[in-house]
Amino acid sequence: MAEIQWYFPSELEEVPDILAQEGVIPHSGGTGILWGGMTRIRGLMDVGRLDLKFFRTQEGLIELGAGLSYSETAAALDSAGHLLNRSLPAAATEPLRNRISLGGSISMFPYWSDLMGPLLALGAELHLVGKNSGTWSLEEYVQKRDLRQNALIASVRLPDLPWKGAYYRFTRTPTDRPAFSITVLLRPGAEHIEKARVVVVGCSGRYRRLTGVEKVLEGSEVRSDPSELLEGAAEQVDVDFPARMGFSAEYLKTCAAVELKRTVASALNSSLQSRQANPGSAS
Amino acid sequence: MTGNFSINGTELRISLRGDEVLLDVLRDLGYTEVKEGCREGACGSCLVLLDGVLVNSCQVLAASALGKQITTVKGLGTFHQPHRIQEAFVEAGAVQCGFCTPGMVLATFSLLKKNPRPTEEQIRHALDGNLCRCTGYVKIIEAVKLAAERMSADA
Repeated sequence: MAEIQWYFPSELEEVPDILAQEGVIPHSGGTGILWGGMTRIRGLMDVGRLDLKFFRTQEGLIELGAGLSYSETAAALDSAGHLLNRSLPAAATEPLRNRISLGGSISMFPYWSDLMGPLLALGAELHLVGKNSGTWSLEEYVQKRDLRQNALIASVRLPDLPWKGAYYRFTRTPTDRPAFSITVLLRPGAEHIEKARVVVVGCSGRYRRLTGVEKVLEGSEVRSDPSELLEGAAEQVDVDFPARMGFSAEYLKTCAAVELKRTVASALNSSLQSRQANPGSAS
Repeated sequence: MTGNFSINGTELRISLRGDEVLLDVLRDLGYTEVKEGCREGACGSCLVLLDGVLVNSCQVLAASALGKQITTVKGLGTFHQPHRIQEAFVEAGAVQCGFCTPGMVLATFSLLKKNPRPTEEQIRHALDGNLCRCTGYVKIIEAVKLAAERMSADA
């Protein structure tokens, strides 16, 4: 194998030329690169000297530098009680959370990702530098292979909206990789749920937004007994899984339907508590 | 490629391949207290502090650590002058075969630096990346509590 060339840019302006070279990819934490194998890699561009570890809030947006590790992101979002602050501390293990970066995790998007479900549900956008410099929705980035080539994710932008949410990961042990995860976000109004977003990660096709379930939830009354609503939502669960981690596809599908009901119930409960704490408030 | 590492306060200039992981570089340099376990980032036996941050050295490409401060368990204390955490592990009987101990001690150090008085749940969460196949963790958690008490008393 040829020697791998390393690049250490200190300015974002240097990035496009480096990534334009064949076989050169960005390196942040490096865990995904090691997991994926290095046989096709000719060069690595380390992002450690770029200013990609920042956290900003402005004009209704949260902007996270793509060089932030999972631990740093959770710490930055700690005071906000953010959904990512529930999903990221559950991912991997403490030393890996210190190393896995947002940008690396997004570009790799493994089925066990504890980052992608919340980001997709929150409607994240990415700021890319390189061949396709600019701001793109995360969904576009995931779906269009061309966007991912010769590009560095510089930051992740999230609309700072008053969502109430719940996150579930299907694992055998707490530090296991999830076979799938479910993210449910609800925006409660004074009487009804105004908006809902439901995303499953780890299913066939890597992820799926359950728009059928969202339609059932949107416009529904926030009640203390949501059993009827949950049954209606469960009827709309239409998602398949590949067999993995010793689980059959059918078993995962059955478990996903049960856990989706529970995750929706948890999100509804969170909305109800919020309404009881702030009667008349939309958040 | 060549570059500098600072390991336990000692500056070293070394040459390395672009695809080498930090674990291999450290062990080749004689830092055998950094143990090779799973090589997947799952067991925690190869833990080091990289600029003060706890990482699995098997999951760090060495080139990305050039110019950084690396601390192994021997950088915390010596046989004759052990760190409070190392003392606590001995006194609590938290060491059996000892293979996981360097990683456990460094994970404890990292925890207590951020949170001097952790709850048992916080201790378990902080040690979630460390596997021990001998003791069953009870003595290890007692050792972390003992170290926290001693270090808080010292402060």
